[in-house]
Amino acid sequence: MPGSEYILEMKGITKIFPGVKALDNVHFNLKAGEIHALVGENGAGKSTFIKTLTGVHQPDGGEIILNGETVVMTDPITAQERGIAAIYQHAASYPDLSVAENIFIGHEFKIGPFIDWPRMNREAKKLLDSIEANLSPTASVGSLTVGQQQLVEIAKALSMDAKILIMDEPTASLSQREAEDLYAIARRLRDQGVGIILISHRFEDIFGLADRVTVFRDAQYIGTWNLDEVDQPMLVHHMVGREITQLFPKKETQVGEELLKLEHLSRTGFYRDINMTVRAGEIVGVTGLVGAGRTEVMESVFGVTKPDSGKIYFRGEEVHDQTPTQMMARGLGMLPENRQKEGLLLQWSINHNISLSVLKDCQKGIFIQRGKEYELSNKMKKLLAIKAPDTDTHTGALSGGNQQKVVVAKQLAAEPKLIILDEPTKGVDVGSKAAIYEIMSDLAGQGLGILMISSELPEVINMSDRIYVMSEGKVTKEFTETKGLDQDTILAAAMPQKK
Amino acid sequence: MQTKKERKPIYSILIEHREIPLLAVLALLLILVSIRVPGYLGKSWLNVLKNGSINMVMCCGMLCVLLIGSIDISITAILAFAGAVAGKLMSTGAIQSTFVMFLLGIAIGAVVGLINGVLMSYGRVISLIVTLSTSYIVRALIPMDWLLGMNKINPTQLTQGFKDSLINHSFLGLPFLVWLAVLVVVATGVFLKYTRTGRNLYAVGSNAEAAQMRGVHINRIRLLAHTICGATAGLAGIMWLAFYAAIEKGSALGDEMFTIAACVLGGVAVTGGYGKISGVVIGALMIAFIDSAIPQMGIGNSMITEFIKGILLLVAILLNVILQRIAEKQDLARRNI
Amino acid sequence: MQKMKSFLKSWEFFLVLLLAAMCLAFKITDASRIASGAQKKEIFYFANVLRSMRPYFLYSFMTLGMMLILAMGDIDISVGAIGTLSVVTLGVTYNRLAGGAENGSPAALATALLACLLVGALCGALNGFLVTRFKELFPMIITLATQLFFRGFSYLLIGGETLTFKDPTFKSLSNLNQLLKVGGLQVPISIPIYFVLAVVFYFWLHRTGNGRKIFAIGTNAAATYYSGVRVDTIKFWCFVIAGFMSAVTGIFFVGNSSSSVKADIMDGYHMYAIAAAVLGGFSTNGGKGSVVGATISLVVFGVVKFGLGTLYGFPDSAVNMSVGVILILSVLVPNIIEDIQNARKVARRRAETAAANAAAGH
Repeated sequence: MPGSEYILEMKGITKIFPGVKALDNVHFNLKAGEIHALVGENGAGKSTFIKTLTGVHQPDGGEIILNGETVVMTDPITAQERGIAAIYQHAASYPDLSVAENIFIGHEFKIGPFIDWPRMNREAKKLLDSIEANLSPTASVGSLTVGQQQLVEIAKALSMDAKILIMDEPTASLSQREAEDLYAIARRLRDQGVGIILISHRFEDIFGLADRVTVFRDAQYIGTWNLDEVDQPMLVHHMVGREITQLFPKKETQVGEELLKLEHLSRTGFYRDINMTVRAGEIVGVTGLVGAGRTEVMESVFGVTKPDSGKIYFRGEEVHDQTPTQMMARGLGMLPENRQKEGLLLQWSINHNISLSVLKDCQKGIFIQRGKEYELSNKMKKLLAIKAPDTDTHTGALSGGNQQKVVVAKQLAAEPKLIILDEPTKGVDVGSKAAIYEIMSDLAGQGLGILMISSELPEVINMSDRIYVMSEGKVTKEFTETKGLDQDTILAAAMPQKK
Repeated sequence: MQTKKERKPIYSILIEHREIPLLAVLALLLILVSIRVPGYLGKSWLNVLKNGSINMVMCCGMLCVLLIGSIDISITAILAFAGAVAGKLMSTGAIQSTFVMFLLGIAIGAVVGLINGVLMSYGRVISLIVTLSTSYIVRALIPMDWLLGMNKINPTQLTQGFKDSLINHSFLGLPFLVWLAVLVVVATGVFLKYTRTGRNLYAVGSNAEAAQMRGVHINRIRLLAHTICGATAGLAGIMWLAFYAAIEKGSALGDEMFTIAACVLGGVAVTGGYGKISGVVIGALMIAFIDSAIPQMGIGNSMITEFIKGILLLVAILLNVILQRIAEKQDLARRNI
Repeated sequence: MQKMKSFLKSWEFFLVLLLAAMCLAFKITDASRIASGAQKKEIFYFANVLRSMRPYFLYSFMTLGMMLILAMGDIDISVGAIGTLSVVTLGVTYNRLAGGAENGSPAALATALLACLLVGALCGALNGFLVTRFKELFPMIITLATQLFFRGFSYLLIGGETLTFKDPTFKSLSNLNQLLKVGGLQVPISIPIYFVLAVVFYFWLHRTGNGRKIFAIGTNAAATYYSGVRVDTIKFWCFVIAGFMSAVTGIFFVGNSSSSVKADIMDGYHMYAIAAAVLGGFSTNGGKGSVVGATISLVVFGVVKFGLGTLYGFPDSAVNMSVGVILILSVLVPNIIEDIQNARKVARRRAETAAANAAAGH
C-alpha cells in the first residue's frame, strides 16, 4: 500500500460556495519531514483547501486520510487535536492580548480552574528562545511588527506539538532577514519530522525550501512534481495555464506632458524623500515588498494623509492641503488596494457605485436624475465589459475581477488625467487580469498617465514603461528600461539593506 | 536577533497602561481638594467609598459587556426592577432573610441579562437597541398593579435586619456595603484574568473571527457577558434598596451613563478586547470622588457638580486620545524612516 | 410590476400593515366600549387619534435630526441634553432681556428664540467637531460625554430651579401647541409643521446628491471618502442640524410644559428619537432607512399611546413597554426571516452538489 508513506492524503476534495466552485476534485499528499509547496494564482482555491484541512470549512466531497485513517474535520478543535496547526498570512492573533497568551490560548497552563500566568510566561519564553525570538512574553501582540507576530504564530504552532504545519504566505510581509529566520526554523522543524505545507507566491521560497510542489489552477488539481523536475517557467506555465505573453497586451504609446511630480516627499514613519514623475501616456510601475511605503505615498498624493514635507506638483501646479475631493476635481483618480473596504459600497448597486464619484454630473439642480445615472453606468458597463445582469446588481455579488472593473469605472467616470492603481489585479482571476491589463493599455493609449503599484513582478515588468522600486520607505532604484528586466534584479533592489 | 534588552520608553508604557494618566488626574484632584478643604481626606474617604460602591458593582458587569464589544444601557432599569420586586416581596412578608433578598436580586438581574444576551448574540440585534428596549420594558413593569403600582417601597416596609445589613455592620472599619463591592471587584478580576472563560471574553472582543476559528462558541461567550452584567445590576438593586431603604420606578434613572463613563475613564475600549479591572476601579472611584468632593469645595451650588463631572469626563477621554496619538507618533519616529 | 413587488417587500409596507392592524384591533373593540358607555373622546375616531398625536409629534423634530445621524452610521445620545440646554438658554435669555417686567417685549422673545436655536446648533457643532476630529472614539462615547457636559451646563445656568413664565408674550409660545380647526378636525399645530419639514427631509435624503452621500457614508465611509466625497464636512453639518432640530423640539416643548423651564426638562428624550427612527428602518449600522418609514413609526407610536393609554387606560409605562417590544421585534423579525432564508439556500445548494456528485459518479 503506497499510502503508508504519507502522513496526510486528501483525495477528490470538492467545495462549493454560492455561485462558485472553490475546489473541484483536488488531491494533495504530504510525507513526514518534507516541505510541500502548494502554489497557484489568487483564487485558485489554496486558501479554501487549507480551510477544509483545518476544519473551518467542511468539504462537499472527497476524503481526508490522516496517518492511514479517514477522518472528518468537524471543527478547528478537532484539527488541532490531530496535530494540524496553521500560520496564516494575516496572523489570526489577538492584538490586545499578550504574547504568552496568544501562544497558549485554548490550552493554557492551569492550577485548578485558574490560569497559571507565571508558568505560562516562563514556557512562552522557552518556546520563543527555541526559535531565537527575543520577545517579551508579556508584550501585547498588537505592538509587535508583522514579522514578530509571525514568530508568535510559530511558537503557538510549536506549543501544540504540531505534526502538520501549514504556512500560508508566511513571508509575504517580512523583510529579507525575517524571511531567512523563518526559513531556518522551517528547515529545523522539517528535520524533526514535521510535515510542512507551504503556500507562497515567491519563487525563492519555493525553490529554496520545498521538496515537492503541487499546483492548483481555477479550483482544479494540475499536478505534483519533485522540485528538481521543474523550473520556474514551467511552474508559471502550470499556474497560469497559458503562455504568459498573452497576458500583457502592452502597446507603444506617445508619451506627453508631465502630469505628476513628487519632490522630496516625506512622512515620518512611512516614507522619506520620494521623488517621482509620471507623464501622460505612460504606465509607471511602483513595486517593493509589502510595508515598503508604496501605498502610503499614493495616499498622500491622493490627499488621504498629509505628507510632513516635500512638494507635489500635479499638471504643473503645486498642490497644497490636498483632499480626495480636490484631487479628483483636478483630474486624479485612485483605485485603492482594498477594494472591498475602500473601493466599493458592496451593499450598493453597480449603478449607484459608479455615480457616487460624479453625482454632480447626474444632477439637475440639486436633484439626482436617474436617467442620467443609468446612462452613465450602462455606458461604463459596456466599455469595461462588466459581467452582470444589469447595473442594478449589487457589487457584493460580483466576482473579484468584475468588482475591480466597477472601481475602475467609478474613477473613469470622473474623467481623470492620471489614475493610480494600487494592486489592480490582487485577488482577480486570470481572465479578468488580462482584461484589466487591456483596459490599462487602452487608457495609456488615450493619453492617460497610469501609476501602478504592484507586488506581482511579471505584471510590473511587462506593463510598465518605467519602474520605481521602493524599500523601507525610500525609492531605492528606478528602471527606465523594462525590456529584458528580470525579477531578481528588481527583488535585489526591493530587499531591505542588511544593517 | 538582538540580545540587549531595550529600556521601555515612557510613551510605550502609556500605550500599555491607559489608566496611568487617570491615576495622575485623580491624585491631582485629591491634592487640590485637600488644599481647598483642609482635612477633607480624613473625614470623607469613607463617604466616597460608600457612594461609589453601587456604581462599582455595576461597573464590573459593564466591563464584561464592553470587553466583548457590546454595551448594556438597561442596567439601571434592572437595578430598579430587581429592587422593586425584592422590596415588594419583603413588604408582603414573603421574604424575611436578607441573604435570600440578595440571591433573588442577582437571579432577577441574571434573567434580564440573559434575555439581553440571547437577543444580542443569537438574534443579532445591536446591543444598544436591545438594551434600550429592555430598559423601557423592565422599568415599565415597576408601576404595574401587581408590583409597586403608584407607590414606592418605604423604609417601614423593610425588615430592620435588611436595612442594617450593609451599613451598620462593618469589618476592619469598612461597612459591608463596601466589602460587597470589593468582593465583586475581586471576583470579576480573578474571573477575567485567571480563568479560560474570562480570557475568552477578551479573545472574542479582540478578534471574534480568530476565536471562532479556534472553536470558541462566541455566541455563548456573548450570552455569558450579558448575563453577568445583568446579575451585577440586580445585585446593585438590592444594595440600593438596603442603602437608601427605598426604591421607586424612577430610581437611578439615567445613571447608567456614569457606569459607562467610569469604564471609559478607566481605559476600557468600547470596541472590545481591552480593559482592566484596575482601570475601572479607578474610574468609578473618580466619579464617586467628584460627586463627594465638589459640593464641599464651596464653588457655587451643588449643581455645579454636574457641570464639572461633564467637563472632566470630556477632558479625560480626549486627553487619553491625545496622549495615545503622541505616543504613536513617537513610535513612528522611532522606525527611522 | 417590479416596483409594486419591491414596495410589497419594503419595510414601509410592513409598517403600514402594522399600523392598519393596530387601528383595526382598536376599532373592533370600539363597539363594546360604546356599549359600556364610554365617552366620545374615548372612542377610536380618526379625530380623536389625530388630536392625541400632539405629544408624539413633539419629538418628531428630534427624530428628523436623529435620522441623519443614524443614516451615517453614527449615533447622538446628547440630543435630549441639547434640547434642554437650548430651552434653558431660551428661558435665561428672555428673563435677562425682559428684566422681570410684567410683560416682555416680542423683540426679547425673538432674541431669546434665536439664542435657543443658535445654542442648539452650536452644541451640534461641538459634537460634529469632536466626532470628525477624534475618530478613535465612537460617536456614542463622545455624545455620552457631551451629554453630561450639556446637562451640567444647564444646571450651571439655572441650577435646580424652575423658571416659570406668566407673561403673555412668553405664553404666546404655547400657541405652538394649540389645535388647529380644520373642517371639524382638531390638528395639533406641530403636525403640519412636521410634515412640511418631513417633505423637505424626504427630498433631501432620497432625491438629492447630498442625501445620497449621507447614506453612502453610513454604508462605507472609507469607500465614500475615496470617491471624493467630503465625508467630514457632511458629518459635521449633519450633527449641527441634529442639534438645531433638538432646539426646535425644545421650543415646542416649552410651549407644552405650561411655560416653565427646568434643567432636566428633556432628559432621556434621545431614546424616543432613536426608537422612532429605528422602527422606521434606520439602523445604528447606517446606510438604511427612510423618512417615510420614520414618519409612519411616529404615527404607530401615537396610535399605540392613544389605544393603550386613552382607550384601555393603561399607564404611560405600559405604553413605553409596548414601544420597547415593538422596537426589539422590528429588528429581530427580519433577522429571523433572513436566517430561515439562508438555511434554505444552503440546503438547496447541498442538494444540488449531492446530485452533481452522484451524476459525476455514474
